[in-house]
Amino acid sequence: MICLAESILQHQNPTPVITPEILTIYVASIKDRIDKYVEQRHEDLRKDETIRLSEIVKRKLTFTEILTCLRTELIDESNDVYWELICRENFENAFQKQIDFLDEENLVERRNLYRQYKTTYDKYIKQGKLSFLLKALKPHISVCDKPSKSNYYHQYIADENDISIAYLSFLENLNIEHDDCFLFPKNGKHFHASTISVNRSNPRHAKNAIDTLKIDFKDRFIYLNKDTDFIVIDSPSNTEFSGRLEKFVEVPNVLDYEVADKEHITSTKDLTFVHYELAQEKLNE
Amino acid sequence: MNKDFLNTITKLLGELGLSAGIFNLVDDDTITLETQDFILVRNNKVGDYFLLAEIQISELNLVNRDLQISLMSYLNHLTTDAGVNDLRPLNGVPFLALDNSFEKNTTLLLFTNKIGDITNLLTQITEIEENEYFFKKQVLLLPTKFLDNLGNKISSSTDFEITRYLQDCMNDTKKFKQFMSKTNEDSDYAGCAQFFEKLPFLHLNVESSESNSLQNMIDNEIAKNTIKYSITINTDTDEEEGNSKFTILDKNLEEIYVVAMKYASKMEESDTDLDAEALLTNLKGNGFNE
Repeated sequence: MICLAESILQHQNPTPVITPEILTIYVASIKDRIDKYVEQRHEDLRKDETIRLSEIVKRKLTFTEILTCLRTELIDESNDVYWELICRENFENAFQKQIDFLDEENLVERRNLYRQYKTTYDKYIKQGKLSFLLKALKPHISVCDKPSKSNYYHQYIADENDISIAYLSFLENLNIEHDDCFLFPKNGKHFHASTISVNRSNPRHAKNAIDTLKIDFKDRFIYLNKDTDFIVIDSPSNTEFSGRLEKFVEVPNVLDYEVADKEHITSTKDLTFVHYELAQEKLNE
Repeated sequence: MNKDFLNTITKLLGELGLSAGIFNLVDDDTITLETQDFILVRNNKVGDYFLLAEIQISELNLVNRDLQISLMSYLNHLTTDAGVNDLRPLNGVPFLALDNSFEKNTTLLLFTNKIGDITNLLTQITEIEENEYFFKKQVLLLPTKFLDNLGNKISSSTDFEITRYLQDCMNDTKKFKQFMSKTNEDSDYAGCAQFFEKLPFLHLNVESSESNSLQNMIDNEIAKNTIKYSITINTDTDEEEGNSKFTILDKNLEEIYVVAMKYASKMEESDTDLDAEALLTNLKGNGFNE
């Protein structure tokens, strides 16, 4: 399919170079088209219509439709459709890698992942809102802070590695049924899944990443569900830690200096970062 | 690291008797500054630390997030066995011994050269200085060429004393007046003022010019005045004319003042109201009568 797409693209517009990146987007667009077709076929089958009717009425995916995909001007960074396709491509890749990584025996994990995928598909992918989900999974990063949209999507919210190691690793051991795939309630507490990873091999770098994360959550305007208590992340150890930042104390040696943080009218809700394994334990209880 | 900056700081620390070391912020993937050299200073008397560095205006946006996190983590690294050799001595300044109290006791002092319009810069500087995490922070906004000039002065004469120079500059009333009329203009005074304002280890010795106290002014005025006075007192509350007593005192102001003060303080002690007639009686007599 990739070869076919490439030759067609070159044929209809021989001048620009078809980079692998551009090709990926077009292929993703065709895949999306096929996806929709398969879905409609299933729908038709469920309604029993095509079975009774002759083959002629059977819904077909015409070559013209594939051509339409390839003729559309997709490479447009100001267009949300383009970014949605990139998110889709990266998300599917991450998902496939995660599945491939599991052995035949990991039936439970596979089942969990497929179930979560279905929830994600129904709720976000189908509506063309996967980028919205990915944004919510990295709530502390805004497109405005990054040098370009491309940088924001590729390096941050739709990073395959982050989707896999933080988000999908969390989902694959989650045995609960839930109608959403990023905010999970349990005993009045809400767990917010994320694609955030502060896991670094060098402990010093890991600590820096944690500090940076806290600053980002504190300093930036973040879209976060007000119920959120825990942010589920990938961190160096299977623990939880407060999202609070320690303030610089100007005079630490003063007698009777009270560091106790009193309840204050402006005090905000305390967020806790929790390693995904610990979050799984709590949610599976 | 810019040699003028390095020379200026080295000279300053040498004269102030502070100990210091220098390190290069390496082994980090997030931070890329034009110069990654930092001078760590310790005030051995008080025990507090200062971290000095030159920074470009374009790099100021990194301070509150990436830079201070990297620096704090690097200081921690310097206290470990692996990092202990990464702090190197600074020529001509005693080498400092880093203890564990730096974490809550370090001020980050950033030197930046003024380029172009500074209106937006001041907001950014305030944001850095008001940020309450990791370090106490100060940003010195220095006039263009200020450090170059200092560097030149240091290298051209071995007798040059930088603390003396800064001090003299601050006490120069002519420069002060020029500065006050054009505060935004580049001047040595503006640079020196930044040094004294932002560097906590630098203290300005104010030459106490004897400003005239009120008491002195009164005393002087009285001593000059030798004219004899007469006094009119109204004895009646309804202020009818004719009831006033006109008394020729034939005393000078100094005598009147002394007696009046004595009388007033005596009345205050005994909690009695002041009485003009009693005062007059006292004045007519020789000095104060019991």
